[in-house]
Amino acid sequence: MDASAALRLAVIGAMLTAPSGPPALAQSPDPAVTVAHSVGDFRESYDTAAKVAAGSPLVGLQLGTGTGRLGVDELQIAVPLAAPSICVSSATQDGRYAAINRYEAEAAGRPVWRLEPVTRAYQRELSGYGMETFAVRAYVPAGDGCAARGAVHVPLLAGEGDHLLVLANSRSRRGTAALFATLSPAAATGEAVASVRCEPAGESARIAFDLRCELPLPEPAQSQELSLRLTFDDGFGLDSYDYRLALPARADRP
Amino acid sequence: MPTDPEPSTGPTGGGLRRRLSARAARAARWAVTHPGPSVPLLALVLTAGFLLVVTLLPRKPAFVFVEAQTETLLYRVARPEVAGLPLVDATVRTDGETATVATGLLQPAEGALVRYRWSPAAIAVELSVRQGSAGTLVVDEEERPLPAWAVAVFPHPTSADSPAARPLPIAGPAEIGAEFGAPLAPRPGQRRVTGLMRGGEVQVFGRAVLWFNDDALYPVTDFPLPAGGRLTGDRPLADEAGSERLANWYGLARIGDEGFQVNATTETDSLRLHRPGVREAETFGIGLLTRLFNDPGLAAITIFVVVFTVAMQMLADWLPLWRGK
Repeated sequence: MDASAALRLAVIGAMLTAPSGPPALAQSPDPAVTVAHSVGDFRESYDTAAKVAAGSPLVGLQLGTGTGRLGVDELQIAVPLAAPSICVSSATQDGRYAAINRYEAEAAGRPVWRLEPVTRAYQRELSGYGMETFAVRAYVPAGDGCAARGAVHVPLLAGEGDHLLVLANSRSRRGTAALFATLSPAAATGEAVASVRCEPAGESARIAFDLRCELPLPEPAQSQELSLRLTFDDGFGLDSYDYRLALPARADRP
Repeated sequence: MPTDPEPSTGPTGGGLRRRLSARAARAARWAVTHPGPSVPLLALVLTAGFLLVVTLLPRKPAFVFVEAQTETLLYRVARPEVAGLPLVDATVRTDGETATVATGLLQPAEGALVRYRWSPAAIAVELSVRQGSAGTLVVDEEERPLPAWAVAVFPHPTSADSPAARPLPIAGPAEIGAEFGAPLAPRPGQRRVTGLMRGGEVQVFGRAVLWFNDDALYPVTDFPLPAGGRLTGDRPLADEAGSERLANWYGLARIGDEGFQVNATTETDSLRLHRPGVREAETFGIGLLTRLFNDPGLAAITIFVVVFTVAMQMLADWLPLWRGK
């Protein structure tokens, strides 16, 4: 066999043994990023009776504001704490799509997890949505299931901008969001690190969320644990909801 | 020596006219000798010309009458003079200050967002602006400026004689209702968050465009408002720059047993309904054909053209018969 024939055979062999699927789904060469695969039954629905109850005012949490169309192969979650798995609940603003699934990382200790897959059945439908109409709420659950009680929330890495964007379901009430420098919501009584009044979210039908709260972030070098308080006011009274957050160090933000 | 009456001056002037008239004559000859293709072609040109003239007529925005029952509505104050609200024993609360009970006139500032919210026991009126003062509270001839956000809550008026029983005004671009969205898990002792639009009807009237109809209103269409939606203009109300171009609404909201009974009018060609089940809003537009068949002046012209065409066709068919006699 001459050299060129050997080279051809080597190339064909490499093609046959290469992993199938688009290259974006392969293990990322970036040492900070790991692919996170869904585990268990994949639960998602589109325009049918929702399989997951909305229930919570916190619908999405992300670093920066995404623009353009939703890239369903590119959603990355910053996980700045040691966690075997995370739960990811996602929804479109019009309420037609909802999903909640558990993901485990291929490689332990990486601060960024790329979700694979974000959707199994509705790639075409979701690709028609804009980033601003898609909410992702990711959290490290306190127990085995995907119960959000006591969970530590981690943000989606959405795009440019040094701010934390909270997408909330207030049911048309006035909303404020405040960050406190402690992981325990019960202790979050001191001065807020950041506090903003929320704005109406987009011009899509406001079914899953109706407010967006853009919180400026402090700039620590290390990852930080905070608590988020959402307060809604309809004039007749206030309702407050507390959540625990873990945000990545500045160097790991987009 | 005879002179040339129309000396050729190149591509302009009489030469061009002659060439054009020669071409027109050739086209006319072709149309007469080829009736098969020329008749539909000429009919198409005439129809397109008629529609073009109708399209180019000056458009006047439709007069829209909205009747709705809703638990909340939002509007941006365009006419502060009519946006004032008499308060009787209302609890007025602002950011960071203790609530006070006041009887007086709540006067929203121009450009402020005013939200009315109904609950089974009380009414809340929320004023907000991004920066500056959302309005004033006039108590005993004293004007107390309000901060950028304030809310006044008062119980349902028990007597029709009370100043608080006056219907709540709407004087600017408005949004009615809030989407029947995902519910929140209730907590012990929590109240229901109100905001539902229970339904209603929109009636659209056009304004005649031709001079001899003198801006007369004519009914165009009406459509029901489904419960659980949000009716808006064609731009976001929260966007201050955008909402300046929105049409003003004028009307009132009467306090009822199940929500506000809203009666309001606006002049616009576009309304949007955001409702559960769809991503984009439904847009109610008033198109060319709707006008063509409803505007009294245009309808008369349309009928004239149709009858004239039919009459011409009939006469053209009958004349050879008479000539044959």
